[in-house]
Amino acid sequence: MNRTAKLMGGWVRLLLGLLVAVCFILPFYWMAITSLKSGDGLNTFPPQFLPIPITFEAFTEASQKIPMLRYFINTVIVTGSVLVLQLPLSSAAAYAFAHFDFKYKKQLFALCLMAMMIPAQVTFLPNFLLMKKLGWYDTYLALIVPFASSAYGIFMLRQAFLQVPKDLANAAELDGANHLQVLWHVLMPIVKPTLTAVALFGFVAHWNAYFWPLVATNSDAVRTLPVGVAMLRDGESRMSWNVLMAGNMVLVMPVLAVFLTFQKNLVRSFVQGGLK
Amino acid sequence: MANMAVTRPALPASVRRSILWKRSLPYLLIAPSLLVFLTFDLYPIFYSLYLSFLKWNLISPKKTFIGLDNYVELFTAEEFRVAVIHTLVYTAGRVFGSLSIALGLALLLNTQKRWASWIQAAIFSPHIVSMVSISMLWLWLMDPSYGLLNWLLGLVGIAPLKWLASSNTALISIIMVAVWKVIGYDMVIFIAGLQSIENELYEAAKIDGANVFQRFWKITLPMLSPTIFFLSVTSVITSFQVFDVVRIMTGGGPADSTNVLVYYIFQYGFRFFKIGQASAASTILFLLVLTLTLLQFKFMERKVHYS
Repeated sequence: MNRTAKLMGGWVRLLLGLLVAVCFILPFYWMAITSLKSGDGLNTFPPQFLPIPITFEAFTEASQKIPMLRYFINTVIVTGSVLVLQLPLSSAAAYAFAHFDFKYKKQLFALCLMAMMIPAQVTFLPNFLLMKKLGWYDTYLALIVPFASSAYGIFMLRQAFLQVPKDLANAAELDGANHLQVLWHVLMPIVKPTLTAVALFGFVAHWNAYFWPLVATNSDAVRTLPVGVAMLRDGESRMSWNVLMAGNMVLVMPVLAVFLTFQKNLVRSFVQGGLK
Repeated sequence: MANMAVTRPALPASVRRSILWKRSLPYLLIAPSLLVFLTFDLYPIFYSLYLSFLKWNLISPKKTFIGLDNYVELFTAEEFRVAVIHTLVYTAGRVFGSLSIALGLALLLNTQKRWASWIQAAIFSPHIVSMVSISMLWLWLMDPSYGLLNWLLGLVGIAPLKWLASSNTALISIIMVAVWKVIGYDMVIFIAGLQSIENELYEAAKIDGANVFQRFWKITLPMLSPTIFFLSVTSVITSFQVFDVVRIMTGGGPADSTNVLVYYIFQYGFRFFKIGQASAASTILFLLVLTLTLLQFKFMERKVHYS
């Protein structure tokens, strides 16, 4: 009797779970098939759940309306550069906080934490003015340099470095390795999972970023995908939904691909960032 | 005795250099990061504070110092009051909605089964997708004439809603979208919290004859209180900063019914060019976030469920 109840409970769980999953998958499915429909296939009643016939005209139209490829390349350049700067600089600072004793260490670490707490929504006006003054407004620099280091990255990597036994680093130093060699050859390989997590987190954050790029750019030459795709809806001639969804597919696909590849790591990176 | 200091042998230059290097190395390692944070995070706070005392239109070279006038104006302006109220309503709906549903989902999906991890991934996926795409997708789903949502409502005999097109339902629609996006994250954090509760507690309670609901109220909920606290505070903080979804889905409308604090700051800065007033509003937002952050730190130090 207890066993049947348990078995039933399992099935009820699965069924409820599937129902919930539909609520999250169906919208994305709807986005995908809308982007594959033609303009006339949109407003049919009842709605068509299969895009027959499949057409890519929405994608063509979207890239005629906005320079999609340019935006894509811009986003790759910005996200890539941010990561290339952020990972080594955050690792270096995290290493210093984890393995050295020095004056004002506590205060300096507190300063880093404070940086993490200050939301961009509070500082965007002064930063906009700063970019104007530096001559960085509407250039890649405005989108990259402010994120050259990540307080979140420092925080996570410091935690990871602290978990590496000190003897390991000391042994390498006795063998004549200098600090930077120890960092590169001994510590970095050990904290690789954390490094991956920080990189994934950074990728998602900067690929998707809308607010700051909206404030700091004004031309197609530097505009990133989120800002560009959102503009599909701005202009006086409102695009039809298949074109809008096609633009968003281009924005979403890379992130979803990364998500499917690194699913476990990615989720963990968000959870750790939240819990520690 | 007196010449002790003099006779102390001078260190060779190479050793001195090596000591200097060793001493300055940590500072050198931190310097680039610190420079970034000081320039783009901390300095702007003070600059923003300074701007909030000015009357300035962004373009003109003339900046007039007007003291606290911008703050006085803010607190008397109906539009600001409305934006703050909308932000609070959004925050309440978003935090309560997401946390309660996420906890339910966490309880449902907290099993080692393979299917559970796939469903978890599906629920989590909106969290990593740009708010731009989520907003535009839901604009389409909530389209009053051809949207999928109204069609689904029609299937169960409910009259079509106007969703974002009506000032009665726009804010709640935005809250729904925001909850849908973040719920997977909250759920994953809850699952981590659930898994840290020791099974013995439940076993002991079962032996004592506690039923499912008693176990939930007497064990799960109290043991989860640090997680609930953490999620509440961080969710409130991020909710105060809501912007993307508003800008894309409604532009603050219809009839100002979805105007929120950050959208207000954005409009005053870049559309009305009232930098002083926008900065004053930023300062208020900053103080709110700062208070909550400090509160969080204070409570995180002592474990919530023991106090």
